[in-house]
Amino acid sequence: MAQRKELEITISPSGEVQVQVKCIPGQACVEETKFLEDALGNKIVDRQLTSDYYQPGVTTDTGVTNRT
Amino acid sequence: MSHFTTVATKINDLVALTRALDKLKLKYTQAEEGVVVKGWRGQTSLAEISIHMGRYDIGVVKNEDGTYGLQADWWGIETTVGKTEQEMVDELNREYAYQKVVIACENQGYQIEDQQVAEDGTVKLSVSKWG
Repeated sequence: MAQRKELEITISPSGEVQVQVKCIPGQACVEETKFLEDALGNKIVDRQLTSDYYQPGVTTDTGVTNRT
Repeated sequence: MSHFTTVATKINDLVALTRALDKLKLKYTQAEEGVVVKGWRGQTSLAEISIHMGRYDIGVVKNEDGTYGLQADWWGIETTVGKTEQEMVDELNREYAYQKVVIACENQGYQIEDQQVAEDGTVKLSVSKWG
């Protein structure tokens, strides 16, 4: 079944990028931000996983901050 | 004595960078064989892109690791344009990051649903796709 993938991306005044993934069950949420991490140079300064992450099939939020 | 200093950024895509320069309405010249960057007292150096800030230029120079850094006589730019090195670097990084994010999202099949710019310049993007 097709799934809706949603990202919230915040770019700070100094060009730091934060990505939040929504509505992706399970582990796919981390993989879903990888293309942005690669694009921005892979200098990850922070990664946070909420407890939802460990429960497959529910909404998950991850925060990934990428300094440019 | 040289008045050029280098700031390491994670700029790795000149297409996104020139898009950012266009958006910021900055004039620049670009050439693979190198373009002249004007510095203090007529000193020059070579760069991939020279961003023209009036009397002085900002050079976009390739680092050893393949990323690009910004080089300029920042003091000269501050006294003629009124923006500090930090202000210029932040502005370029922010706009570059935006352009790079948009390009990456489009390549990945994401569509931009919403975009908001806060007073302090923070940009919030909502993107989504079915897949």
